[in-house]
Amino acid sequence: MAKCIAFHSYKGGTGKTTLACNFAAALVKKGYRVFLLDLDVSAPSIQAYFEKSPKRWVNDFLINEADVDDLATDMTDVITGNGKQNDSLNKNKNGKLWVGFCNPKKEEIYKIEGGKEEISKMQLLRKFILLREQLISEYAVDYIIIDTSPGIRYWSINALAVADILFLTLKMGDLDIDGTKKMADDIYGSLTKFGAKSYLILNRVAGFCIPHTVTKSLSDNAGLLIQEDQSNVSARISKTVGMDVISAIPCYCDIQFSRKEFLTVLKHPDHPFADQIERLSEDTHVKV
Amino acid sequence: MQNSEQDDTCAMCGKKINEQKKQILIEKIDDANYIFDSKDCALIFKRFRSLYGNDFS
Repeated sequence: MAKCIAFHSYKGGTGKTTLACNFAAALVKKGYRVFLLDLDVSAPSIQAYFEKSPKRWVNDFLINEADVDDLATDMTDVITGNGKQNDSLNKNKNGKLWVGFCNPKKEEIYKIEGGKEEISKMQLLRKFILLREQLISEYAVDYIIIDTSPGIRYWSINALAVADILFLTLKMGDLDIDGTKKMADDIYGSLTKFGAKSYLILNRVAGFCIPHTVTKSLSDNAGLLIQEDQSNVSARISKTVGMDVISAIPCYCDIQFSRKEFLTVLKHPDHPFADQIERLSEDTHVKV
Repeated sequence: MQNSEQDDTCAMCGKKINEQKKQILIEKIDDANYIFDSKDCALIFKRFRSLYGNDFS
């Protein structure tokens, strides 16, 4: 049974796209068939992340100018290294990754934001429902991972409404936490009432900016202190926002300030960030 | 979107149900009957209704 997972946040810059892309890659490594869909329509970034020029865009599909086969870009080679260097990462060889890229051109954004009058919002929404259905029936995907727009916007709400699991990502800072709580109350309650499951992902948890090369040399006691602190942060924010925390990812400066982070789960599988994403994918699989 | 019982189209995805040879699913939501072509569509419709209110129909 295919599962749809939406990565969402109250504000931008929480690391949604990085998390969604790495999460999708981690699932492919485990042998799952995954479709990564960019639905951050007002600020798409997955095309820049993969540096790929797709044949057609998600936007084209939504306005009836492309079929699902045109927009589904097979990116499995990125995971498997085209049978070369990364082949061992795709352990059971069945994993597949398709990506649906969203067009960053302003004219194309305008069309699917309801600006093109001949296509109503309901028609756009129905095309989106059809896309989900076709990915499940024709591509036999195990997971659809959606990178949404932050906040309460038309397309982020649409993505959340079709998702089975909602990952609400937030980075530390009181404003972010207050806004997230309000959004959780306003939006997420309506969805969990009808079967969706929602979890918080705390990203860039402060106070842990210790390079993993250093943490390796710390004493066992120091390691325990870090774990304890993360646990306290998770419990506090879970209580404030009213949602369970599924993952608390420390702030890794090498990723945070990297000019071009790209699929750390593949490129640096021993990095603690990759370990966090692996655990998130395992926990998610258990929860669905 | 109207209550589409007369023309047998799914209230969520808008597909003609008879053409798909699927069983019609009728759900009473806020005192009106809506027809759907799958449990998935009915569930998603209820989520949208819960989010957007009665204007979503």
